Amino acid sequence: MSAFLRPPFAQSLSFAPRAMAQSQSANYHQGEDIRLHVVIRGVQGEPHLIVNDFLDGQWGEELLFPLSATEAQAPSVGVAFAADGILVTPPGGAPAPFRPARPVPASVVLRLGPDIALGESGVPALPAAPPVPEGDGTFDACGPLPGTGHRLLVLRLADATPEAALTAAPVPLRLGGSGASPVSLLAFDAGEGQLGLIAAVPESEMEATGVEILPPGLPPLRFSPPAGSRIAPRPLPEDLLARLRRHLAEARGAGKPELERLLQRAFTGRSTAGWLSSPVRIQVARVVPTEAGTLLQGSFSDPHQAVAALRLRHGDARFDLAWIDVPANDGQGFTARAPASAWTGEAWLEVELHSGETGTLSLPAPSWGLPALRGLLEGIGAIPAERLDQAFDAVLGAPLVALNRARLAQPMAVEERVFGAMPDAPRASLVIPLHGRLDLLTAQAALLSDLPGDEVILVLDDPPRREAAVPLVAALSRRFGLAARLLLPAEQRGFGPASNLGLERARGRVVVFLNADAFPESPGWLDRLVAALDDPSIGAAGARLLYPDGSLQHGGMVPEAAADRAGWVFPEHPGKGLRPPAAAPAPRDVPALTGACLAMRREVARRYGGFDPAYVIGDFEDADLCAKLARDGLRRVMADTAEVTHLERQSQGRFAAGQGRWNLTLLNAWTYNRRWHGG
Amino acid sequence: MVAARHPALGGSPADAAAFRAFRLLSRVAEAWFLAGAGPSRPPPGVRIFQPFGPAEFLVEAEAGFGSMDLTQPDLHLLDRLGDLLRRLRPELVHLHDLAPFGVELFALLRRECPRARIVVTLDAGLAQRIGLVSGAPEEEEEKVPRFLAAALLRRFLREATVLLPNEGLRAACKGFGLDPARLVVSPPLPPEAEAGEPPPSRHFLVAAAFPGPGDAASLAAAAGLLASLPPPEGRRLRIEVHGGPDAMLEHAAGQPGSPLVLSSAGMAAAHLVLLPSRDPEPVVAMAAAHRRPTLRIGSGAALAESLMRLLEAPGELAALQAALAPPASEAGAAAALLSLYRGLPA
Repeated sequence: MSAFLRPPFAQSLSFAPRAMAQSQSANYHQGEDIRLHVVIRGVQGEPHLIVNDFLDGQWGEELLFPLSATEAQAPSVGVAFAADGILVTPPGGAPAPFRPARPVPASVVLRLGPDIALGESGVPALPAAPPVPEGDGTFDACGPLPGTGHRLLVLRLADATPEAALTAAPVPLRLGGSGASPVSLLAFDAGEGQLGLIAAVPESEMEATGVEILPPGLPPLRFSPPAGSRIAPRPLPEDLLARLRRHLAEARGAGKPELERLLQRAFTGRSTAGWLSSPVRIQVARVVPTEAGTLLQGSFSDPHQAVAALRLRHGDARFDLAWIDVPANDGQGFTARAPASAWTGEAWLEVELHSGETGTLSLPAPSWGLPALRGLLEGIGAIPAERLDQAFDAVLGAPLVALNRARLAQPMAVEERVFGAMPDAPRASLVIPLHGRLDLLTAQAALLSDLPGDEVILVLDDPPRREAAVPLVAALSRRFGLAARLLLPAEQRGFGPASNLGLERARGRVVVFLNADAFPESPGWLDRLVAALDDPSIGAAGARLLYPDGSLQHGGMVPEAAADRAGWVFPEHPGKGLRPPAAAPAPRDVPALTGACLAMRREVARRYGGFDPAYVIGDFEDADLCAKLARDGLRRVMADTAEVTHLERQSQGRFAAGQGRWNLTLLNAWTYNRRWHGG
Repeated sequence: MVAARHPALGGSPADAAAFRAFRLLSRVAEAWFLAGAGPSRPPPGVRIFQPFGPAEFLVEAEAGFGSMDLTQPDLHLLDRLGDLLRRLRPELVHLHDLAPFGVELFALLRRECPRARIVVTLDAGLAQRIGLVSGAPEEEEEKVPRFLAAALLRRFLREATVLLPNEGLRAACKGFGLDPARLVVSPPLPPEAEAGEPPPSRHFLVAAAFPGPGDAASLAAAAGLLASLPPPEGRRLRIEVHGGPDAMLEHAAGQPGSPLVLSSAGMAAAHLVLLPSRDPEPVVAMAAAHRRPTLRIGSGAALAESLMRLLEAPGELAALQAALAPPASEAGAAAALLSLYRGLPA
């Protein structure tokens, strides 16, 4: 049967013989957890009432009550979900609190074995004072320390007098029926003048039925499980350590460093994070070392807020992490930065809990280059506007820029093919990076085939497309009479570096950086751009860019602060999407120009090194270049009468859509803003 | 003259017009006819051959023509065409269709015959393409390929003088981005047809060529009205429709006494030709070649009234025919064509 119950309630569970023979149980469910699991079955041949729970996918064994033969004939167990805790009353025993530290759920669903009868009961009152166990003190808890080979014993001594004798040096200790071994004890104040003791003993098969300590010069001290229990309570490791957290911090005794070392688990190179007492779930999908720190990215879950610190461990060095916790694709993503510069070899993530426990997680092999860059940007997820500054200043910005710089610093082979008869002394060099879509090239090549005095330089910034691009350009040269130089770099480097590659090889007096999705249809468009640059006060000239429906896409850019993007400045296109205004007959000054169609005298472009490669893949390098021209007093002008149809972002290919693309824009925006708009 | 297919192999009206122009021009100048040979699945390779005469070149190539963007990426074909053009060195090339040689032919001409003038006849298909590109709203995913095709077409049509069949297309061509100075209105050439009397018949034959949707409604309405009227003096009206299937016309033709017949014996057998309201110029030219009077379809009632009046008064029809201008002689038509070419902008 099953029943929906709202605390407070109390009831009795009567176990028929078949219920015990079949280990039928009573389960009080809260969501996927079982807050209370009650079963009567044999343990080492003797009937026992077992009370435990199943939380976060793990069983916790908490209370074990031995039953006499008489009690086991028709046992009845009291269960109460009272306002201040869960109480379990064993047959013939006193009520015992179950996990007193945990709040009582607002509702539970009871699922009952078929041979367990449910009856009414009253909420029992807890005894006013803990029952006095037999012996000198209480054996309060015994719990494992996963991954250490030890378990923790928690004892309570009514008389605090022997503290010094117990904690100054290891003392012989006997657990259950084992032989005595020297063990370091830590002492803490257990309240009401009682002395708490903590000991870590090696794992063994011995049951926690009692502890005997043999302090030199003093009578033996005996500790028994709480009254009514045959063995000491065995809480979940996380609960035990949570309960001891404060006491461990304040504990006294010569063995404290030893216990701390044990809690921190000796570093062996193994992944020990799974042994932590708290259900911390952490996966690192990507590790990217750069000159400006190492980025780690993955998923993280710490439902009990048990984690105190995370560190990158490489060799003997440990590095604290700067952290951004953002919703990633799977809902719980993080990206973190450690101040560890580029390194090679193995590394680990070290997890430290508030309890002092530590665990390590072996990290995946480091990744570099463009795949790492893409993966990081796509894995970051959506960063809320109010956290943009922190995310990029503390974590993302510098390492990503450094990663890009490092990949661009690698030497790269560049092959050049020439198709058609190139002019000896070209007036202008049109530099067109190709990436992603090649289907746009047919129309563009046709449009550029009537410029016999100029040179077209195509830069294939997409090496996987080489096999398609080379014959395509060869064919277009023959189909339309296009004369073109095709540069074939061995790697993809992005719009700016690809354009710069074309700039290095350009021979024209003027260089026009042109997007692959820009289609110059208006007669004389290039003449007008070239003519504008005859004026030495002009550093760059841009064409008016129109959408295919004739509306304006670009008529000059204006830097504007975006309130919904942390106040960062973005270059905006006034009038975008509207009917274009009347074209100015002469070049018109504007603050900045887009790189989609940007003309410069070659010597000026080379003086500035073309587009700054600090901008990754493509974005903001045009605004940056214009800012440099402005700084040096060179004008940026629009030649409105030079019209180019621009499909906009059709040439960006595989990185064109999604969160990764936007994060790339934000990265470049960060670089631009920190450089030009005051920190 | 360049056409999609030789008329001897079953070409379109545009192909027929191209061939007619070639024949006329051959009377007064050295002219060549270049056309695709078909069939739709030719054997591998490129073949240029001359089965019909020394000035008529047929080109057989593998299927490669892109009907979406009017391109011909077959480099072997372009090489062979280049060889031919270098040999012929034409001063003027008149394209009646962009298939099967594609816009690449413009670029080829510019390279091989840089001084040659290029003339393009804006036929219905090309006009529709221009209208589609510059007008109707498009689905988002169609925008880029349509723009690319339009950009290509615009790029090369700017190299040519475009012959428009009527003035009404000029605005669309300007809107598409063509140079107004290179738009010339030139009615289609009269087709090669023998003018003569229609064969004796007890019927009053009316030919309605290529009626559009509005025309079909008017024809159906007129047929309904005429079916209820008794034919005067035993002469029967017969309206032969030449065009694609139309459910409205099929229904009207099936009514008792309906004069509609959904097949046509051609203009030579007709007494009168009904003009479609859309793109009437080719029909006008064809009717003129046969010396047949024409009538705009208009509304159903007006059409029924006009036809009944002509049926009742055969003299009125004869007067209309007598008033038609005599067809131009072949020599005159050739001279006019040459004059047209000489008057085009360089």
